[in-house]
Amino acid sequence: MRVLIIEDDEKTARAIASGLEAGGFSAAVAHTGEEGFFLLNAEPFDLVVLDWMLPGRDGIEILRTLRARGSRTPVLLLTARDAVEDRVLGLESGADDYLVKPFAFAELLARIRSLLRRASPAEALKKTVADLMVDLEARRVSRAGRPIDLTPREFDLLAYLLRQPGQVVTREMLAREVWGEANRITPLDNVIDVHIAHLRRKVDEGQAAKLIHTVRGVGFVLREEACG
Amino acid sequence: MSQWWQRRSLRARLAAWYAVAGTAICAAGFTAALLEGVWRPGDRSHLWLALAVGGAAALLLFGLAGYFIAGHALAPVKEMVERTRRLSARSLNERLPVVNPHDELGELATVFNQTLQQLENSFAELKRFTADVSHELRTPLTAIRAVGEVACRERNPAILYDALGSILEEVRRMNQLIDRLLLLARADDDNVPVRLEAWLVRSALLEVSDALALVAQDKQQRLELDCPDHLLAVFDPGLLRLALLNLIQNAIRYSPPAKPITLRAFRREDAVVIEVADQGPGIAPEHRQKIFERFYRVDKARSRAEGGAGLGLAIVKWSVERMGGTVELKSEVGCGSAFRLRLRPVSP
Repeated sequence: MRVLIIEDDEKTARAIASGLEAGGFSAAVAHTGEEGFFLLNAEPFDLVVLDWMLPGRDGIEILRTLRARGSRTPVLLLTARDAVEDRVLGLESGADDYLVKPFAFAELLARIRSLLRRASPAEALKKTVADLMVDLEARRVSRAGRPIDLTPREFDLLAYLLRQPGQVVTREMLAREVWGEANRITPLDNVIDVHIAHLRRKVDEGQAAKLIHTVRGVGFVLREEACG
Repeated sequence: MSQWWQRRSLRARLAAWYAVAGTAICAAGFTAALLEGVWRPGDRSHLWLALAVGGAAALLLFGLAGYFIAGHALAPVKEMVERTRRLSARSLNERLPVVNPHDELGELATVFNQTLQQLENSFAELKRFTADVSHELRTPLTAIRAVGEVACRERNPAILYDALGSILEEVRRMNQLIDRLLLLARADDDNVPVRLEAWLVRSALLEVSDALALVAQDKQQRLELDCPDHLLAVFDPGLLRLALLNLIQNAIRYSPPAKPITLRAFRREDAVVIEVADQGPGIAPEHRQKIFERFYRVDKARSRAEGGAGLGLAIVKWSVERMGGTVELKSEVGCGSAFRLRLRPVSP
């Protein structure tokens, strides 16, 4: 999968590019609108990560031209502007998703994957990680054959972690996707931490292999091997 | 008499002077003409002379009166101009002299001084705010720098990884602080869209208490909900959730284990009241006024250690006022605190 990053801040662009490469993508970087537009015309990309504020032609302009020419390449718009009107303008101009700076890289990766996945077939209704089995339809969970009793919220939390296997999930993502909180400043960190602690107790306590891990400063991840 | 005179406006004084002078001259002219008529009936030339002399005297008198009164009244203008010239953002504590508070210039100076006072207050507020923001941003920055510099000399990957995590934690803190500041900055120009509609109060309270039940439970606290089933109020669910989450988390944080926290809603004649009450230590009277101000903290060391920046209650106040409501605090030291939100009721 080839991703084009159009972002004028070199540090940010380089960090995104190397993060994406580590995640199995191939990435190209453009630092100005013109350069990005030139690259888009020259080679095919599966997805574009586009900064709104660019020197020269700004992101929205590029996006509009791209869409006017009939291109359907998914575009993820990055911006420091988070007012609702900006969001609407961004999406109306043809962006497929919108991420407010500063963002967690884990979130960018999750959004890119989900944009690329959109066309793919429906997900399986039963998922397993190691000896943990989750039936998303019947909302049942068991570990090593032994059923685990979860509250609805704990189940949603586990299901969300499970949909991003091996990927770090931030508190912002959980607040938005599991608690349905659109506003970034609503204080839910505490709530999330407590729920994770309870979920962990039910899923991991007394087990040799821990599945729910905290990635300090970033968030949580569900995976088999032990990790700091 | 002189005091009465002083209290008149410039316009009234000039008018009074002119009236007195005019009446005097008219009377003099009239008397002269009358005397002339009696003296030499038939001869009108002296009448014209009397009128001419009287008119000239009148003009002279009016001119002099105007000159002296206006000169006297306008004397402060020079001083005012001088002082205004010296004004700048740095010397907003200057005030214009108010020579006579009752005339036009005095009024002007008084109003100008009030404006200056307001400006001075806002500048002081801005200064304090900027200092607070810098301090709040500098605290995590200092930590990031220290951790980073120490980590640079480290070769053990586990310790490096830990240092990175700690840096990212501080970055998150800064991020949240900036998000909140931005919200409050935007709040000042009231551009944040709100969705004010009639909603069931109970479902809003249930949602918040469900979210926080586990947090309270971990502190052996109980959230008690007391709200009529069909109580309606006008609010924006997102804003109310924001306010209540802040208030209840404060209550959980600051009240001791095993003490219940009550979440009560009831209808008053003119408002729907939502009350969040705890049985914590209470808030001393000297803090009660200031507690809704940005960055104000009752216990500075403690709340910072718990990650707060002193913006929670400022956000509560803003969000409630944005919905056309009010928030007030009732507290008794040693017994607990109760925050009361008053929202617009739905008329039956």
